[in-house]
Amino acid sequence: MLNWPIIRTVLIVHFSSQSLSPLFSVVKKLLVGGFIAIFFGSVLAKAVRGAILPFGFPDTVIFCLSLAIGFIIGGFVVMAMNSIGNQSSVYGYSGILKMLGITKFSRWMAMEIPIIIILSFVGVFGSLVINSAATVMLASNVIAISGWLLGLFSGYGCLLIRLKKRNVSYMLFISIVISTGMLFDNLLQATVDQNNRTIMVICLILLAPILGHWQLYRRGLSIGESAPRHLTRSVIPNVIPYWGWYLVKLWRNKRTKGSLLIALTLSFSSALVIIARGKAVIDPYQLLFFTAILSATFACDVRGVIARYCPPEIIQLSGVGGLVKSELIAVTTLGLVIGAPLLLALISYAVSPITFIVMYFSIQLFASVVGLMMSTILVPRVSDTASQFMSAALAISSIFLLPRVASFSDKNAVEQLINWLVVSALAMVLIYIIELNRRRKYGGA
Amino acid sequence: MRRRRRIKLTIDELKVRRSQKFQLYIPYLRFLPGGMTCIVGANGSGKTTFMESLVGLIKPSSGVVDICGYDSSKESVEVKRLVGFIPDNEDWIIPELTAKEYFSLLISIYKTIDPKIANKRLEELAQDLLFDSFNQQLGDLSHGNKKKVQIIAGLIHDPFFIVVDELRNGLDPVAIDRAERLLRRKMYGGSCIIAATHDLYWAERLGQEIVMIARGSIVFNDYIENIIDRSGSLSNRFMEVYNA
Repeated sequence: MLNWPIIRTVLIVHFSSQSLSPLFSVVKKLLVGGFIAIFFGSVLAKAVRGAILPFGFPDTVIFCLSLAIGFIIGGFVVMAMNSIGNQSSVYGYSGILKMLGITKFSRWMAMEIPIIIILSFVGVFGSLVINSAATVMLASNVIAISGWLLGLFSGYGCLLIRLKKRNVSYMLFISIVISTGMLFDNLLQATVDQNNRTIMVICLILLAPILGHWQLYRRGLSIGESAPRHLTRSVIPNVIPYWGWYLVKLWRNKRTKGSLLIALTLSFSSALVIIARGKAVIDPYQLLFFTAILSATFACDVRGVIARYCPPEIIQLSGVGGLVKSELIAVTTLGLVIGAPLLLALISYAVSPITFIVMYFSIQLFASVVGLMMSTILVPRVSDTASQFMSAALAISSIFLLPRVASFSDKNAVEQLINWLVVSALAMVLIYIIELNRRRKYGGA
Repeated sequence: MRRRRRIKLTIDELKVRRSQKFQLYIPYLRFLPGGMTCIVGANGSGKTTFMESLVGLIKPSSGVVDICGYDSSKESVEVKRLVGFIPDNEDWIIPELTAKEYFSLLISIYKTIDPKIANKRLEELAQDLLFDSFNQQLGDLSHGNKKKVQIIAGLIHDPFFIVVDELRNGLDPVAIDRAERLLRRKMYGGSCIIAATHDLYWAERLGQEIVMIARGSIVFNDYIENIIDRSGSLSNRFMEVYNA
């Protein structure tokens, strides 16, 4: 069984990087995480209590709906942290974990604990909100919350499923989300008899990925992973300009390449669903925030590919300014690429296509820059679950909170554009100051 | 009644596919207690792959690594208690833990060992290797001290089989001497040492049996005396194979 030294090690490795008193840092982070979950959950639950929501749905529909929400959010949270794949690394913590003479169950628990902790915070936050929503909708609170929690667990389980290739789990997750979305679309148009059947199918599709946890137990790291394949990479050719160098770096890094491909797949599949449905999108501007989330989540991984303090890239790119410029060009370019499929799918539904494009550029720019800023502040490393989660959560919160706090939506398009550009510029300056400060203080006592 | 198991490590038809172009293939090898076998070979020949598959870090495509009757790919806990691994990789630590915390983690895992005995062994090992930075975080240690921590971690549970990858890397001359003496003592005490190295003079001096690997296969496997009789030195034999 797991003993305290193993649990302590797991917590320290995942929740306390580069701290002088790691255990204290773990306790601090867990308390802050718990507080944030309860505080924001309570605030949102209060808002939901005052909202007008449809009611009178059968418990099965409520369970199915909360299961779907949990599944999607659970999957996105784990995807955003993007940390599962790193457990298979041969060296370091995971290698030591493999070499320890502990049981398969303990190994499994050691792998599950960090993500379960993060999902528990999300679970607490969501349970408060769903509890309120269920009360307003006159539905059973227990059923709604259990659906939500099972969904979270299943969404995580889906990303643990491995067939021949690791990325299959991401594709599976996206396929389940799309197919469930389509089934829900049918559900609204079907008769009562068909409803029950569709609900059953949706529930089965959403619950089956729980088996991913069993697969993780079976793999267990105890017998070792298959040998990693070493890739031969050519040296960067001289023709690549300095500003494009970071793009190459991001493409060559397994983690960022994976994040980019996931974000692109999500954007592309969402665009396909919009086109396939063929129905008018009432407010395409709101969907721009979805593309912004994708870009911001990707940008959160960007800074972690180089060293936290004094990366050698600073010299290669002629100083801190060069490094920041190169990072900014990479994240903004890729941010725009990530959102492009949805832009093309939505543009025909916009009242003014030019305004829509301008809004798209400004929001994507902000999302990418704010993601990079969070990444620069926290520098999430490979197994640093807490920083990965925090950077993604903070970036997404900024995208949602800023327009409300600064009342962007009350202004006209030009004013909104200026506001987005100003806050993006401020974030860029902040990134530069952080990097400069880090560079100057490097080596100090 | 508990089954009595003979102390031996046998490899049978081991295949590890590392990429489309490289596969390690060991038809048969046997390591017995009380001896040191040195694994030599050029860069990229498959030494580290061999070591990692021995200790169960990577999964063989086929074949069996039998450790005292346990299949290393199936009976993990028992196997890990019998094997100690000293890697040649600075990342093989948990940088956030202090050395003291790391060792207490290891001691807590091997429940078959009395903690008092384990702590005494830890003290002795640290004394042997001149290591005293117990309260420093492992990430802050120097390269050599990290290596010392890895050596202590590999030997703390008193394993029968000690798998060492490049023992000398990072250690200062005094620590090298101490570490060599430590391994010799273990060997005379009945442990079986399997050491991968590029240092042929070191292998000649310490090893009793030499296994040379090239392009994923065993080129020769012989006692050091036989190699010296035939070729004059291990270095000569290595060059003969390399130039052939």
